[in-house]
Formats: sequence, C-alpha cells, structure tokens
Amino acid sequence: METVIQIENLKKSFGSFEAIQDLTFSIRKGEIFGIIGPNGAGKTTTIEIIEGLQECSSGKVTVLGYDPWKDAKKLKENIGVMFQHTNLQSKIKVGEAIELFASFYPRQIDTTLALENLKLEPFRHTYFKNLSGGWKQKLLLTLATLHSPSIVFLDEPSTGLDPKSRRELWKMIVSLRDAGTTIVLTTHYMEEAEQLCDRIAIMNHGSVVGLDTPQKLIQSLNKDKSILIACKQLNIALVQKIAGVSRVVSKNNLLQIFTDTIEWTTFELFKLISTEGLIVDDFRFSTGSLDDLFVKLPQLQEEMML
Amino acid sequence: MKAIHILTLIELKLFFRDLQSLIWTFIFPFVMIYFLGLLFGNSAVGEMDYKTLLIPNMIALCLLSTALFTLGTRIVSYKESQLLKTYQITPLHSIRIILSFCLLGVIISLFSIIIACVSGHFIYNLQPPIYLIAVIFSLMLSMVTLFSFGILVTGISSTMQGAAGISVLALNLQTFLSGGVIPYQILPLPLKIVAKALPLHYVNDILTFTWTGQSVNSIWLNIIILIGMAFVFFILSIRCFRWT
Repeated sequence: METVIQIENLKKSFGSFEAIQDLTFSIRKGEIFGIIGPNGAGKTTTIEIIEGLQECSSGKVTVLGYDPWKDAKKLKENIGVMFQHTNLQSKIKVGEAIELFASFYPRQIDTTLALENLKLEPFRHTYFKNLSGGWKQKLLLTLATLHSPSIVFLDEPSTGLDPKSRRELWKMIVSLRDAGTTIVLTTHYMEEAEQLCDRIAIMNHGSVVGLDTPQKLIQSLNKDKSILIACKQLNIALVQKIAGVSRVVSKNNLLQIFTDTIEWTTFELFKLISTEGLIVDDFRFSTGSLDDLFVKLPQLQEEMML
Repeated sequence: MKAIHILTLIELKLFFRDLQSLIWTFIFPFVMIYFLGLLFGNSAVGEMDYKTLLIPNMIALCLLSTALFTLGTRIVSYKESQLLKTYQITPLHSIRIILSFCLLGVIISLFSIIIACVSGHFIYNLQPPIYLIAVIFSLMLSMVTLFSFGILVTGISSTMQGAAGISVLALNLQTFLSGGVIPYQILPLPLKIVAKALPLHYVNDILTFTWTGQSVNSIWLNIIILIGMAFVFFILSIRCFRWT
C-alpha cells in the first residue's frame, strides 16, 4: 500500500529536553492512523512537525512527497487539520465560515455542496456560538475537509461530545476514510481509537512503544488473559488450586481469575461448579483493552529499554 | 485577492454585529468633539482657533483607537482562541490577514471621519477642508502608520487582557503627548522628546496642516519621519506576526 507519511529517525529537542527521540514509522494511504499516549508523550510535537508547524531537530519527514517545513505552502493545500480547542468567531454564521475558509484555497470549492453533504444547510444562517458541541465539531471537520485534502489530522475530535454526537462524528470520519482520505487521529479516548483506527502508534516519553492494529496491540501487549465469573458460593481456595491459575481477584461479586491456560482453567472451573451444584450469574473472558495498555505504559517503556 | 476580500467583508459584518464596537465607533467622535469644543472652544493654539483643529485631532485619535482596540486587540483575541492557528494550517499568508484588517480599519475609520465632520459642522459650524487631495493623502499615510503600529504593539501580547492593557497605555500616552488634547508647545522638554518618538504626534501634525489648508513646507521633515514609520511598522507587523 502507498505510503503518504514517512518519518525516519525524527528527533526534536527544546533546549536540553528531548521531546521526540529517534521516531520512525510510516502512514499508509487511506488508513485511519491513531496516535495515543499520555500528556507530554510527544504526540502534539510529532503531529505539528508532520503538519509543517514546527521544524524537527534532526531526521527526515516526508508528507505526500513534500518536506513539511520547506514546502509548507504546497503541503497546506493538500492537508486539513481540525484542532481540539478551535473556536471560530462567536457571531460568524455557518455559511460565512464555509465561504471564508473556501476562499483560502486556490482551487474552486462548491460551498453549497459542502453544506449539503454534511447536512449543515439548515444551519447556514446560525451563529457559531448557537451551535451545539456536536454541530460545532461537524462544522470544524467540514472546514478542515472543504478542499478535499489527501490527509486530515484530527486532534481529539470528540472531546466533550455526548455519546450520540460522538458516534455521528465517527461515522463522518469513517466515511472520509472510505472515500480514500488518510486520517491521522490523536485521542485520549481508547474506545475511539479501538473503534476507528486501522493502526495505532502508542507514544510515551517521545518514543513509539507499540505500533499495530488495535487487536494485535491488545493481544501482544496484554499477556494476562483472565476469566470473569459471578458465582456467589464459589470457593476461592478451590479455584486457586486449578492448574494454570496464577491469581484470583475478587471485586463486586465478580471473581477475576488470571491464568496461563485459559481453555483448561475454564474446563476445570465449570467442572468444579457442576460438582458443587452452584449457579453462575455471569461469565466472560477478558482479553484486555487499550485502556489496560494505556495504564501499563510506564512498564512497557521499561521493558523496551531492557 | 479573493481571501482578502472575503475576510474583510466577514470581519466587517462581525464588527457591525458587535454592539460595543458600534457604540465606540459612532458615539466616541461625537462625544469628544462636543466636550472638547465646549471646554476649550474659545481658546487658541498659536495663531489657530482651537475649534479649527478639533476635527483633524479627533480623526487622529479615532484612527489610533481603531488601530489598537478594533484591529490589534481583535487579532490577539483570534490568537487566544486558536483561530489564527486554524488559519495558519491553510494556505492563507499572514500578510493577507494584516492587509484585510487594515482594509477593515479604513472602512471603519471612514464612518468615524464622517461622524466627526458632521458633528463638527452641526455643533460648531466647522468647515470641511479646502485641499481634499492633500487630506486624503495624509489620511492614507496616517492609517497605514497607525494600523500597522496597533497590530504590532498589541501583537506583543498573546492574551486579550494583555492586549487591552497595551492598548490603553498606548492610547493614553499618545493622546496626551501628541498635541491633540494638550498643546505640544506647553509640554516640558523630556515629554516633548517622548512625544517625538510616537507616531500620533506626526499624524496630528500632517492632519491638522492639510485639514486647515496650511502649507506643509514647514513640516516636511515630519512627513518623511511618518513615511519612514509607516514603512517600518508595516514591515515589522508582518515579520513579528505570531499565529500562536
């Protein structure tokens, strides 16, 4: 698959502080690529270097064949960015905002079509300040994609949105990807990353500590498989004696059983329940989530350094 | 050109939707002309009648307040709300933003000038200028100087509060030292030196001379200094423009 963003040995320092340390990865055409990590991980700096807003200290960055710093003008005609905290003028109307942003690009943009495509037409004469959070984000996404960019950067796109608006925004993002646009997404919402991203880079302390599909990341980095079971009379001491069980944690009527051999432990567990004649209220496997990964980041960093 | 045109048009619409800006632009020249005329109307500045200088002095003040409060502070508010950062990621160049804001300033100032002239005429029977082309030239030069000055000095701050503080200081300092309110001749020497470093002093000179039909031969050096200031402030306002 064609590579649209190539980062090789990227470094960025602010004085003696190394914000980005020897970063290397690539982003393919038409994928939703997520960058996640805690505050201060270097996500924003990396993205701003890719967008041409900051110059790197060393290394090489190529975006759509351009050097983002040297060819900033050409690059800006081909990318769109939706920042997290952007506020338009409170009394600008939706139609005016679209007309204004359309005028910034050399190519001809059909503003009426843009309004219709994203169902913003009924809000054409509405002030920005009177839009709900969800519609504000939709408008900002519209402004970032008016010129049909090849790559769209989304910085925490659904922050502060209610679940319904968030899902509507996700639909818009997926339809953009389906139309062939490459999306680079930074987010703190692990659910958003899991749902939307084709691949995810996990950053911590200026380095990438994991890069793969969400499923593979969870599988490879969450090695602790566990069983969750709600069974009131189940004897914890007996469960701990089952082969493969490493530990049992009890919380809110739910037992979490960690094991190396999940199939064997499940078989033995149900044999025990059947023998004792107990009733099971709930049962599921826990394979972990990106949330778990996020919590484990410092540990992952140490493992990588060793 | 299209971006400058639409940006100016939309900013103008936004200006007219802001009640505070409207009151400031339309009421300020009228109130100031009325009160200054009432207080000092019978006095004289050198050989000139104070009232004769009322309109050009008021126009100079209006230009400066527009530069600081309408243009400069507005740009800083856009910086604070990250709107400029959103503009930065588009092909829009900073020079287009500055040009469109200067154009906005010209249009808003025209309203202030008309109100100042009409108020002066109806309240104190003040007459329009004799040499209109000379006045237009001096107005254009004054606008370029003061608008780029306003954008430059308020741009030092990255917050609205900071920009407002800078604007109040710059406006008050120049109002009192420019010779528009207090005659320059009566200022002590140290303040005269400070006044000479401020653009409003030269704007006042060129506007009053051309408005009253006096020969500008005696202030040719001031005109050259003002042209120099216009050039320097305009270049610096572009070079020092910060998106974030």
